Amino acid sequence: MDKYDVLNLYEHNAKASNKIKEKLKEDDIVALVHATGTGKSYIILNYLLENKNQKTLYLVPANSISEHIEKIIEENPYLDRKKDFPNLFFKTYQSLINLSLEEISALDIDTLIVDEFHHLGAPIWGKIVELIIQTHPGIKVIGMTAYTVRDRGTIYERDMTNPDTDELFSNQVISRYDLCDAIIDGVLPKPIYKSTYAYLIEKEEYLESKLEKKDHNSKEYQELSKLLKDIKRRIHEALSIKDVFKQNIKKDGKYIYFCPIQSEEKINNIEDIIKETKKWLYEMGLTDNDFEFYLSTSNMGKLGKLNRESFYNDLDLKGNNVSNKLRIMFAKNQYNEGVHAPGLDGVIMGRTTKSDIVFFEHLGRALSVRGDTKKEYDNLSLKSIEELKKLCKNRNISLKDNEEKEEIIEKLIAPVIIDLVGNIEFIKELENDLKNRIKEITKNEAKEKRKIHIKDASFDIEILNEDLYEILRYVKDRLTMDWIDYYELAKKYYEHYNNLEIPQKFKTIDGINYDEFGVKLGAWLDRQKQAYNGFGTHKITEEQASMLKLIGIDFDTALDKWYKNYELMKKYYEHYGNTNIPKRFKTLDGINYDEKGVSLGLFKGYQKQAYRNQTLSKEKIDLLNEIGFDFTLVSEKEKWFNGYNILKNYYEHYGKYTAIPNGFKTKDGINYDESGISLLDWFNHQKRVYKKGKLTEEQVTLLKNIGVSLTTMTIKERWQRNYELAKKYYEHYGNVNFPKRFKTLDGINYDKDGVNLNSWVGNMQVSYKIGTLSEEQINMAKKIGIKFNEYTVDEIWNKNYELAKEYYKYHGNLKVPQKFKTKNGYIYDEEGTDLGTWIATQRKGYKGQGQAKISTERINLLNQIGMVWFNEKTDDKLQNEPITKQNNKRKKQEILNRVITYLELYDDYDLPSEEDINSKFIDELNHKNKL
Amino acid sequence: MESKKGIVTEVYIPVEEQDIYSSNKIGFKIKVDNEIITLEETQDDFNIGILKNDEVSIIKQTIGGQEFIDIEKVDNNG
Repeated sequence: MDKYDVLNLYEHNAKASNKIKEKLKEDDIVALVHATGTGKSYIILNYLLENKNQKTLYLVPANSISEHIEKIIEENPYLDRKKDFPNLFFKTYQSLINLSLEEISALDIDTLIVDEFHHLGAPIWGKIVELIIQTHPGIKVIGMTAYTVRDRGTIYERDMTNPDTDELFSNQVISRYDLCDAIIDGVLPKPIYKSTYAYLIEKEEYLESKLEKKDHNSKEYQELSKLLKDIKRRIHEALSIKDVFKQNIKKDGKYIYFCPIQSEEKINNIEDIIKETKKWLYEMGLTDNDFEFYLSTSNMGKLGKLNRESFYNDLDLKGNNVSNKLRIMFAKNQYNEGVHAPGLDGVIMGRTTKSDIVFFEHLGRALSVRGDTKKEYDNLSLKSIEELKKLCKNRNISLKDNEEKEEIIEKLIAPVIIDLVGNIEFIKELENDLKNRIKEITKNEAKEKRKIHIKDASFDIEILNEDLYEILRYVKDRLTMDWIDYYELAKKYYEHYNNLEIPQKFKTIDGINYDEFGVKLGAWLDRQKQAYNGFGTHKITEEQASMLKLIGIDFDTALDKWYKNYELMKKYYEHYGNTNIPKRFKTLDGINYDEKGVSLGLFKGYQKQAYRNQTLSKEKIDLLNEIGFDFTLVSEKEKWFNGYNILKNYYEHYGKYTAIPNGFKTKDGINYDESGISLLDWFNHQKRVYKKGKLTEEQVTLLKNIGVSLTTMTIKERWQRNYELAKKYYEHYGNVNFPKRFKTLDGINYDKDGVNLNSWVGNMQVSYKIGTLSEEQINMAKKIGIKFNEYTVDEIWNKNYELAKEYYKYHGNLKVPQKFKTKNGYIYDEEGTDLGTWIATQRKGYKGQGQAKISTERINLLNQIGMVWFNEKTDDKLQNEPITKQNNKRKKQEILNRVITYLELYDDYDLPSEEDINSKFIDELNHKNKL
Repeated sequence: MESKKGIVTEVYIPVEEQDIYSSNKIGFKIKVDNEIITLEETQDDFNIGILKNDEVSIIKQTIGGQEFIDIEKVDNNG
């Protein structure tokens, strides 16, 4: 079976899968932006199927999403959770918030999947993901979402793929696939959309209040006043939300009701919504036995899971089949992302939607969960076209005269979107986009061969009260806003948010909440600033500018703002004697707290941050120093930069690569200061942290830039490097007889900072003995002539001793020439053992020289075969040598060994007397070459 | 100015009517002198880096009659 067949990937998803694979060969981060309901989870499962060994953390906004993915795996006959996804585990964003740094570091993961990554726009979620990435070098990150912007139209708006900012997924998106694409490709159906313009009375009252400010005698007032009175009456008589509900809900249907997040008592909290829905169902003639309600909110725990599972499987909470009843899941923040429930007939949008993201998530959810439509399609195909038209009529589905049977059936099985909160602008926007996209594809037909799966781009949108809405829009257009009207709204905004940092796209009716129907307050404010600074075509009077200043408008440039804030900080310093300004301290005069003032505490924090990031100019640093600004760096990152800057100063002052003295404490990298940091400790700490992979890429780059070598090679890497040097030596000199003190960086020339190849070979012999050298390494070393001793150290000593014994037997002494080599102990042989060197080494050990050591047993064994420990000259020299601090360790060893030799003259039961020791041992020590 | 050190025992998102993903708040429970102090703030560049088990300074100041309590991370790792 083809790998894509296992998961039955759509063509666009198979393409995206390949792109992810390609991108991750070169890079560690990749993102895709695909509409809700088009199978993003399947792309990830496909990736994980191909990378089973990667330990993967799948980060989801809600448990219901992981439950859904587990379900996909469970229901696929070709997949086995344990076998195919052995290293996959899920966590919610929320579950990570209460982890310590150690716990985050300890997450055993190679790959991170960030589902619905627009959530990273909230500082806390972005930070947690950043920490995971920082503590897991080389981790692969795959982000996916339907919409990349968080909090659109609010002061917190942030696009997580903005190419001009340094967001995690900026310039990392490899595939985009929106709702228009999905409808064009036939992946999602066109919706049947039933809606009403709700809350018209509020809009009418708003316009009425505006009209009241006009001249009551004017023609305009009289005309519009009459219109509004008329419309007010009609609004009260018009069909309402409950009528839409009654007309469109199937008695055995299955729906998700998206409840508002921000509930208000007796208006839209879940309990009231359920109560109201019940009332409408009774009006439809249903009884309590005819419907089943489910509930899922983010804080229901196991009960929420039971509700979701029951709804998914068409059971009641006791496990009884209720597929013949009307089923409604009331969901608050649960079904807007990633979750599918099979067999849905539609969704009910009862959620306040100032965000188009939420709207399109709901829409995508509804479009993608049509259930077993094939069976329904087949049943409807058996009916005549007249019967189908009748069904459409019963369900208020409008038809055009020339519609074919297939199109009518498609409409009948398409999910119904019941919009109770008037999100008309969004659905119309989607319809327009779709039409434009189709035009574009048709225009480029020659270049782009793409099949358009829909015959008609128009949506079936039925909107109640649209005529009333149009009249209100007309009145609104007539009542153009005055400068003072905008000002009043801006003032309300300021009073609510304590600032005038209004997003450019912010629209509002009340000055506080976003409203698509509202005035463009953000754009208006921008125009005021432009006018004040002499840009644009608008003008602003001095009085207007003064009024705006009263509510905190910032006409100044950022630079001016910095100096103004600095002046306030200076006043604070002069008054309080320090710059320990609390984070939430706001002031207008630098001394007293004022809720309407400048956030001086935050300004202080940002100066420290800028200093840390080295983006604060010298002039500003000097100014801040003048007022005793405390740059003391508290946070981990700040402290790191503090250490880094000190090290940088050290290198700049003393020269690159200058070794840092042990115990050197400093605050500036130049002078010793007892209260400073121990620079060598800091430096070594960086190397250890780097080895653990816990330095950020930025930190590594910065350290490398000032000449710090962080490379800490593994044993294997070090062996390979030394081998390459030895090989070069061998190729150049034809042997591997490395002089003992020869060090090299290139294998040929001496370099005092280089590698001692002789020691390397010596160490390798030990590794060979204890079996830590691989077969491959042994073969490589042998290829360049390195020989391995097949014996243990003891075995080699004994072997050499036997040769010495043979020498003694043959020559009658052990005066072995230094360069004497032998295979049998008494005849010179160039290929033989270097016996002369071995004897010399034993003597060195006896005299306490160098690294060689010799045991009492071996001294005795050598004494037995006539070992001469000293030649005449050496003995004289050693006995006359004064004992000093420098040589006392060596002399101690030498004297000890002389004692051993002296005692050897006596039998075990015949030890020297005190007198013997006093006279003869002293004589022994003072002897002149006895032998 | 009164400054005390403590250990963060819990980090959480205060949720009232908003869901956790819409909330811009952050909350900390800090053990100071065997007492648990709860602080809730708006998420900013400084407090989002404070994690569970981190040592923090709780700085109390009264400026112009108004009391301020700040939480700052203390780093002992060099």
